[in-house]
Amino acid sequence: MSSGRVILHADMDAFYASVEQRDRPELRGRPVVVGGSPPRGVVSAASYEARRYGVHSAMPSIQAQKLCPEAVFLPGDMKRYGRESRRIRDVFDEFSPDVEPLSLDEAFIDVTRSMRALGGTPLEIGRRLKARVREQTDLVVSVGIAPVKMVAKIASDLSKPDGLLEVPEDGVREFLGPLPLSRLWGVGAVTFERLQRRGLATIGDLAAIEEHRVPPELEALWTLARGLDARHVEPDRDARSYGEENTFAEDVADVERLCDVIGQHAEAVARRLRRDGVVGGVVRLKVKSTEKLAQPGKYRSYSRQATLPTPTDDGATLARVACLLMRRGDLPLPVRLVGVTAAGIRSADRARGEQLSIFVPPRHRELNAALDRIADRFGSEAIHRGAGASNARKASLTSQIKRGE
Amino acid sequence: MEFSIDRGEFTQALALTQGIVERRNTMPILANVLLEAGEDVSIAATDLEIHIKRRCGAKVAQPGSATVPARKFYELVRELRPGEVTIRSLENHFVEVVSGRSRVRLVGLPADEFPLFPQSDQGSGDSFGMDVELLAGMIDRTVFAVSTDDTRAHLSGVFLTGGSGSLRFVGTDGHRLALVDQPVKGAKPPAKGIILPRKGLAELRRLIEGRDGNATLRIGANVVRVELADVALIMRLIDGEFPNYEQVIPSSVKFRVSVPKDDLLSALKRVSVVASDRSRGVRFQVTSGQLTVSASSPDFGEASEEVEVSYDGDDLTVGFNSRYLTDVLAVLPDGPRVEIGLIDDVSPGVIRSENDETYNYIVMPMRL
Repeated sequence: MSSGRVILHADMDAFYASVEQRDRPELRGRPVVVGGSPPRGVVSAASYEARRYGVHSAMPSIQAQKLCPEAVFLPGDMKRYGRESRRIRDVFDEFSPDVEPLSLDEAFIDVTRSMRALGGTPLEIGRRLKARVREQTDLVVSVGIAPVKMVAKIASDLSKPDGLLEVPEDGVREFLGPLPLSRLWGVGAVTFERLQRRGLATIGDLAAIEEHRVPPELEALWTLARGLDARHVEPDRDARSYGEENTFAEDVADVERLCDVIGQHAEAVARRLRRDGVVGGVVRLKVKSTEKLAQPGKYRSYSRQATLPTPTDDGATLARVACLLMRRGDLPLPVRLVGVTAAGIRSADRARGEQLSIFVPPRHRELNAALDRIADRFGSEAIHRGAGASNARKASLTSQIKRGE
Repeated sequence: MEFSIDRGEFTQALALTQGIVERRNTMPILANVLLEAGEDVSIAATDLEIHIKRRCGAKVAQPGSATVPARKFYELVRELRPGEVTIRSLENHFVEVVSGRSRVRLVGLPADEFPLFPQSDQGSGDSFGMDVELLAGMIDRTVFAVSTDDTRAHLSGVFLTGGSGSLRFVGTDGHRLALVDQPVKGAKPPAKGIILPRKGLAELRRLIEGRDGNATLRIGANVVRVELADVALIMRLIDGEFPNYEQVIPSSVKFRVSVPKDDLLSALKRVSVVASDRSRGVRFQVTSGQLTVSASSPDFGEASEEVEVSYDGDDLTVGFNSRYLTDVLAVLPDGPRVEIGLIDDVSPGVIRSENDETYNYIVMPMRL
């Protein structure tokens, strides 16, 4: 059965580090690591020079420092990366209306509908995409092309750096076959072990199981393994969540102080919601406890969420609910990290049918618009809503701000 | 402890406690009712927010107290044969129930672990009496508008305030607001107001259903105690600041539409069938002498109905959540006509029974 879909997965090569190397010629050819500073920080991006030493993203910075002492460590400049991300995003949008960003530097682009307008083979479209990104940003993107999202993502990953790889529909099983099962979406350490115990090592081993013999708990993975995943590319307006989080330089047990930081995250999330013209109906609070997990450097995370009566793009509302979840007292203290996410995202211009509130005067909207203008001009550090913001500065955030979930 | 009591009366008394008994089982003792035998017998239940105590006449052979699991005990007593039932406490907190030839022993918990019934003189609050029917009406006209959103504690109860000799209840969920004023002789509500929790009011409403006579309200610092002939209910007040509701009540409205209540209610019920499930939005189009109620959704279709009204102002179109309207139409004071006051399509509408100023309902529009 042919799905006829053509999905591109575009992933910037060492994005943050490449932006730094582009803007600071003295860093070119040298190992560059962007991320939180030791001891608590985590690597957000490593240039290819640094990767040769075994440094990779999500690795504790302290470990990266040991592996590659001569690397240049940079705290990163999220504002600049965000700006760059929007330029890249504009290029993606030239190729299709169906773009699903996964993070600042990565997106699925479904060109099925635009194939005719674009002209050429999928591989030619991929090549043009790479050229346009380089033209517009002087940065390098790797592109994977496949009829299935997961396969496109694996293809771009395997092709890096500066890669372009197409997996045609009839080549999917052959392509996936030899890959380890950990490449499959949804296979973490626990599932991987369980599959290994069944004597399965590669995706091909799993795909080889005949359909009627697939145990029910493996059905979803088996479908993925055969490259039959039907998940659609979900354009931006349906992006599932907007999140902001930070790791503290020291563990924090003071709930008031946490609520201050939560308030800042909520405002930042709300600003991004408003920028994209969407509202969120679910507020999620995440904390990382100090409880160590078996894997070194990993800690147990907890999350709590609440559904709003009316979806919102208002930071004060997000903050109120997130703080309430924090104050409920069922989360462990102290915490290493706190994050706020808005989910249940939908377009704000579906405001048709929006129930107006008695106690939220239209002025509130104007206030938010004013906050946005100030943040745009002077950066989000320039403004905090209301009282209690002074503590926030003391929170000495390591610059590990993760976006987009 | 040992006493004998009529099964019928005892069943009724136990039924009153069932709504309060803790379902979540955080403290095992809260799943029990407390039985106390003195001159008469009382049954008490609590979830720590609401306490209820019902007295019943009984023959007490041996004063004392015991606790038994509320649900099991109720189920059992309900199934006993009519006539007298004898209840006595045994060793190790067992409670024995004897009726005719049946004999049941229930596992109990120590009575001294049961939370104390809060004392009424807490905060030395004022007390006043009021007619229970009047109280029931004030609850019915406000509690439905209260928020069910647990993240907004300050909106999840009815605000009680008023002046000397008058009582005001206000309920709101942030989208609509119901306000009722009643003269109550001798009423001395606290000027800054208190917030009565939704669940406590629902229990109180159950207690006074079908009763007549007076209820005594005593308002303390953290609790309100309501006393009826044979029942006392204490509810913990909600700690929070009620929003400045007076500020959002329009001081004047631009347009007044007078509508026959029954016509409006039935039109709403028919038209809202095709409204979207999520928003339940309906459109009000007022023109001279006519109100057109309409709704449409891509999933269900479209509907419209014309209602004859007395109106001679400008044409105006405004959207509302139909449920917010049918809710209030069901509890409006008697009277054949409803007055709808409107300003524009983004300002609050005011609904009241014509010629009755004691009850006002403010509802925010929906964007069309």
